[in-house]
Amino acid sequence: MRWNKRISATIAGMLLLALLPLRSAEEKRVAVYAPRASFSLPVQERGNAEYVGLFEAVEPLGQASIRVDAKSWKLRFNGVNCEFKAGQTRGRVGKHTIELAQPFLLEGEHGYIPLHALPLVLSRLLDSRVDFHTASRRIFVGDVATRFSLELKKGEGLVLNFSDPVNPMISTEPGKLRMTFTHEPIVSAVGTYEFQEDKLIAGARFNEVNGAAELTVQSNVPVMATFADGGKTIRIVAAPSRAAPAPAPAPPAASGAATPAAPPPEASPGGTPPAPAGAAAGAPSGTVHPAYLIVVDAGHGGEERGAALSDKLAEKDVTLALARKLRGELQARGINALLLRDSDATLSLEQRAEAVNASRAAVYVALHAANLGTGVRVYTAMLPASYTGPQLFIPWETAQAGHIEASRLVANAVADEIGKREMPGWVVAAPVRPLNNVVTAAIAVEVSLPGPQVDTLVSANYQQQVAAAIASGIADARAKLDPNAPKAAAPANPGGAR
Amino acid sequence: MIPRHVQITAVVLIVAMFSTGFYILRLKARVEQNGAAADTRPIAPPVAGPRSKVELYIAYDHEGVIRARQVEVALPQEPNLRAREVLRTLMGEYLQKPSPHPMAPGADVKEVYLLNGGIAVVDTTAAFADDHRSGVFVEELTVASVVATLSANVPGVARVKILVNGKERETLAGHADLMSFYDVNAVDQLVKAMQ
Repeated sequence: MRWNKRISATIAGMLLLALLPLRSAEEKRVAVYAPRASFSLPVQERGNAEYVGLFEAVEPLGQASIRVDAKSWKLRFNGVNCEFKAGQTRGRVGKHTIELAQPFLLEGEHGYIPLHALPLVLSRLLDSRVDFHTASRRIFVGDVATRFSLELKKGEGLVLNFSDPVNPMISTEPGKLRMTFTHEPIVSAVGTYEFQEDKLIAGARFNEVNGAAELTVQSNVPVMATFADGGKTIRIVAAPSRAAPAPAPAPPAASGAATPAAPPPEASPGGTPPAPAGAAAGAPSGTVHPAYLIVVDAGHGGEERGAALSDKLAEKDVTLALARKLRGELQARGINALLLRDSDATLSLEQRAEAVNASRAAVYVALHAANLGTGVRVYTAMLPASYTGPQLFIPWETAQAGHIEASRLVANAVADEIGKREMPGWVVAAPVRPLNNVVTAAIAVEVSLPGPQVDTLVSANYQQQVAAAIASGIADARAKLDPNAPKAAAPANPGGAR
Repeated sequence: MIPRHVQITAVVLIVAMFSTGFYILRLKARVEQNGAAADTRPIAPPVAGPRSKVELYIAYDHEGVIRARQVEVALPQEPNLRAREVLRTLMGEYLQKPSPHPMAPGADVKEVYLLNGGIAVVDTTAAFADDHRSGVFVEELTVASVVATLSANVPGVARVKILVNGKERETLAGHADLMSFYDVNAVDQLVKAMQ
């Protein structure tokens, strides 16, 4: 029996030992922030030491080339020569000799130096001051730090002003909104912020971990983040509530299977819930019905340019211009609209789907542009329709399945309006991301050339016509999605529609 | 009381098990490091075999349609290789000049794995996705053409997954979903609507 216990303990111990390095090997990263580029690299563990690829660490920062002769690894960076030898702790960077705490490693053509020597090597190579935040593995070259101020506007939300544009990954969980900055050199002297007696925001906490900075906002109600000022301002505001779902089992209207039902707008305290940034930016002339929120997603953005429509014209620019016009057209019809991006920001497809689901929008519209074919194609997710009633958990990859009928309804209404304006239009199912992950009526619209020249895609008149058609279709679909909804206002700018 | 020789054997087996696990992790890490430099050149031509009729679902960009066409090609007997050669024939149509649906040089199908439950996994070269034209419609044509061609020539395929260089990828070229499995019935309906 005693041996049985010992064997069990040995197995448990070895399992623990085996799992620990695996977990850490998957997760450890080092971030390098420099005026020329900011990036992160995986940290390799060799023995008890942390290593990082030297070429990989300097290549984004200048002209770098390597040469490997037997055990000698030579790097030439911006005219400075470095040399390290496999298994040795002494190396040369330009005229300087560097002592490493652990030996240099050579694996194939990859040369690895101990992580803690990287700041010194970078300092020598770049001839610049380098700060190393050891615990979080963040390296700052020169004065690149991005700072931020934090202002609580009581009852309205939290305003974060950054010294440079930022583009964090945003995730939410009950009572928390977390912004993770992987590419921005965000620093803060303050770790914890507490806000007493605010109805919306309870506090905020800044911390640095594993090559990234995190800012977590604790809230008392569901919140969302909106971007402004080209990404230099982030506002944390209350997430708009949406209309209560129609009684089951009417699938198109019962779009709140996974989202808690919000009170109808008439029951909202104060009459009008806080409007999202997209709605606040303009001056809608119609009556705004916040419960019918439309989230407009300008496809691509930032580093992700989308299709190259011509040598100079990127899809991301066309979609943003179109999204802004669509917001205006929706507002002119008294419909609340929110842009997922109103600047050249990079958003992942997961971030887009998460933001839409968190906003509890009534309709999600993803905009795309292409130079293949003509006219406007309206897409719905390529999923079989299913409605199984309220569920606690919904599969991410088929989250749209319960709303596909509502999506088709909106798509057909938009296509009808496109047809009325004598533009070619089709409704097609398509495997376009992130439609499958959206828990409300969701369509994607791909705008193609109206004529033989690609430049016609950026024609303000053409974009206005397309935006007016989409907005009219969404307004028409409202009555079908929710029979109790008030009628849409007539467009304040009829020039948009022919 | 466990006999001493059983105790020793158990300890030796446990140590061997964890040593092997550690070695596998090292090998995996090494393979991943070398993955970036993976070969993107087209793969060797198919093996010889009896000629069979296959039905290709070919995308035509200018008309925005997918049309079925029968061709006769040499196919091996082994089902996985057979499925791969069918898709390579389709790629051949797209790689010729002029092409109804141009694809980048090096775009190819590396392997097709036919699994239980009607699942087919299509592993493509990096060039298939990296250099694919970007756009909802153009990417949809590619995916629908591949899935429809596979299901038309390999009986029993119900769901298709597309990998790029042995790995999952979020989208083909920014739009078409490559994370999900494609339902063959849904794609067939789409192709009918596009014919």
